[in-house]
Amino acid sequence: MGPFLRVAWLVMRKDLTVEFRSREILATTLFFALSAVLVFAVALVKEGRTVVDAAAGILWVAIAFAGTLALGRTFERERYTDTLQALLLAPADRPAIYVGKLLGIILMIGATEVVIVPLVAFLFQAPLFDHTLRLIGIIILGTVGFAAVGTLFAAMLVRARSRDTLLPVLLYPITIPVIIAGVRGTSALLSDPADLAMAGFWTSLLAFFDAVFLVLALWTFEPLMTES
Amino acid sequence: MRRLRQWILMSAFVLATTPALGAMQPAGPAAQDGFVPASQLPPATEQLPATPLVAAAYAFMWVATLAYVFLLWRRLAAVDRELTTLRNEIGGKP
Amino acid sequence: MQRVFVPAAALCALMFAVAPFLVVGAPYESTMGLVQKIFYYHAPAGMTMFLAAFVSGIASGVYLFRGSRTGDRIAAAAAELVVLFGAIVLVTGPLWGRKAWGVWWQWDARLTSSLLLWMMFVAYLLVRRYGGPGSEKLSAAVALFGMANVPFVYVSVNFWRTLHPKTSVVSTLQPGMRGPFWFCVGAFVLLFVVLLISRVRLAQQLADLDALYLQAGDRASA
Repeated sequence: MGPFLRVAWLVMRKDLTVEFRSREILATTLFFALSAVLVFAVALVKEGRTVVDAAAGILWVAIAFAGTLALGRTFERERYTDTLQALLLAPADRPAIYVGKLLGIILMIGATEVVIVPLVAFLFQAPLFDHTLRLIGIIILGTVGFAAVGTLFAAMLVRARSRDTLLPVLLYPITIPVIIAGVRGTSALLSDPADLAMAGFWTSLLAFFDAVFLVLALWTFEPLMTES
Repeated sequence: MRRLRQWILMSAFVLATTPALGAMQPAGPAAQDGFVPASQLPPATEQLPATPLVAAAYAFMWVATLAYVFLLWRRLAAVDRELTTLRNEIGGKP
Repeated sequence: MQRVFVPAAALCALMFAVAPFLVVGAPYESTMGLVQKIFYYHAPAGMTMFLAAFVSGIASGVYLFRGSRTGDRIAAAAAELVVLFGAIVLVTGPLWGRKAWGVWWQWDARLTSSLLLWMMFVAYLLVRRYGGPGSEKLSAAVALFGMANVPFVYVSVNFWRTLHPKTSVVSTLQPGMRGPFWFCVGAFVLLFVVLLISRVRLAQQLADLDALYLQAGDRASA
């Protein structure tokens, strides 16, 4: 277990160090998410006011879009510098590399969410912080699920053609349960007497999804990255 | 001989549709529509004729399936031809 | 395989020739009338679509973890059939629903699961076509993840909304309807098997062709 975690930690540290030097992906993803939220806010205006119930939906769509962007850019960077190849050549447990990259991606999307969630609360007067802990739980579990599938697909698409369009094409259908659960869970927390039971259900579903797909991703990472 | 058998099978598939279309028509206006309990249906749908929908559904199924079979057929035939030509050119190599 | 093919195809054609007569002879459903007859092709197509997805997923797993080329070919063939049968389900469903429920589409569990499954296998085909070299493995992952995803989609949409005739439509079928229904299921499954065999054969032939070209070297003119 030790070496596995160490490799994952090292990979994650490498990603974050590279990112902090330029902060390119972080900045662009953040501003992309901001513009997405604004576009939706404007699009869903009714009689001069934004539709309040749309808050949960807009939040998760923004997370999904920003996440896809972050994934694409991170692996594009890997491809450009050919470092993914180098990583795979290293005598390290392949799944550990996957976990390292996953953690990096989660942190990057998380950093975006730290800005987006309060923004959505502000723009839509949504009482997102009434049940902060539960909300954080749903957002974290949703992000992990989205990133788990996304990291695997983005990694395997690195050497493919049309990788930019194929990533969303593959990712969105598979992460629909995450989006549904995230939106409905957040929505349950936002409703007037907050529906904690439903929120709990969606949180458990997310946890289950995360578990299943993390295992699936860890299992298939090795054969997928190996050229036959 | 194999080619002939394949053509027979193809035609059997195509011919299978004809009695289907024939059998469908008379069943359509079989007075059932008049006896559907009105309370169960919202008013709008009572005016929708069912026959074109049913016909369209079955027709689509057949068109899609036969289109696929046809495309598969053509590709198989083309590859067959290429394989034979190639094998002859190489002169019987395994 | 080849010996099974001809009798299977003949039987399949025969079953489809007979099916419409059985469908016409089946009792009318009391509320929906004629339009319910679409059910006899719609539901079996749906079952076959899920069968095809299952086959594709398993075959993909075998290909990924055992390196079996045949597994890859079966997976790809089954994926095409998921798209075919899925298209049938997604077109016949709304045609039925328009008359029976008054709307073309509803976001209920079964319809949405079917749509998403269909989309995932369209994505499978897109990856194979446009993914460039090494896309066989990528598409295998898509099939595996797609298959694993089905229960999640179903559960999440189920708790989100539901309108579809209750899941146990099959067990609550009138006795007079069961015969034609299961007959059609048999016909569709047989159709799936026949098409699968043909498509896998095509893939094998293409592989043979490639091998021959390699063998011949420059002697093979394009």
